[in-house]
Amino acid sequence: MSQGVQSARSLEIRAHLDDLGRVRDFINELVPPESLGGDGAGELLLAVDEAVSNVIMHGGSRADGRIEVQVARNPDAACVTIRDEARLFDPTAAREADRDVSPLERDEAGGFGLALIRRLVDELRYRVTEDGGNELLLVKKRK
Amino acid sequence: MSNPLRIAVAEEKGNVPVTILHISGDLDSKTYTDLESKAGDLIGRGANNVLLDLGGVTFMGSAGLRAIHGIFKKLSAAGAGGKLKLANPSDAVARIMKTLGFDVIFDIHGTVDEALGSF
Repeated sequence: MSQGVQSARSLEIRAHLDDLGRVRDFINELVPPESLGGDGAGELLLAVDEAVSNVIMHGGSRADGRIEVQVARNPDAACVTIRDEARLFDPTAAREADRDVSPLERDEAGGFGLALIRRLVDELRYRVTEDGGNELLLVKKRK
Repeated sequence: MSNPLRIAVAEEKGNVPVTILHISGDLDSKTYTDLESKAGDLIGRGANNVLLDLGGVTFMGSAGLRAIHGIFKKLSAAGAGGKLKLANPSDAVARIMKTLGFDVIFDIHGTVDEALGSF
């Protein structure tokens, strides 16, 4: 992301499912369909939706918890950084739902979000911020 | 632009009675329970063969698959040999199903008419 980086833009939302649509609208605006070739933008949109959903649904956020979504673009890739104050959780290290078990034989169909995120982006990096929050970076390269 | 979830229900009498849920809008972590509970109500009132028309779905994440999984479980629990079929997925929705292995598990058809004829 060193060459031709556009200035990053950020959106801050409440850690609430009512705000999930705002995240998709934001990603759609900054990484429009066809902008990454093929359905790259759609795949990034889906990965970001899954990641933010996970924070809201499983992060145990406070009612006034906030999530920041930042998008930076260059001609070759889009980078989305998600920062939150929820319980610390590293999606790059967490175990996926067992794919050897048919989805129909599971009691719950959860755990698919993580599998989708990992398969849909080219890079996934996690760190704990200086403030003790989660920071997840998703990179989708142009096809 | 995010779109609210809408579900329109129709009944078709072909080879067997089929309850069709025409779904439009975003099927995400906020709305998937609406679909699951709507289908659950219909199954509770006797719907046995259920067809989900996904043609109007503008966004679907893994939560949508959670809802479909839940509907399947409800039909199985009803114990009447009911069938669940899907029709008309967009390319994006079809890709999610394939990525997570749902494409080989569920009976997915290109059109509603084709799906109806398969019951």
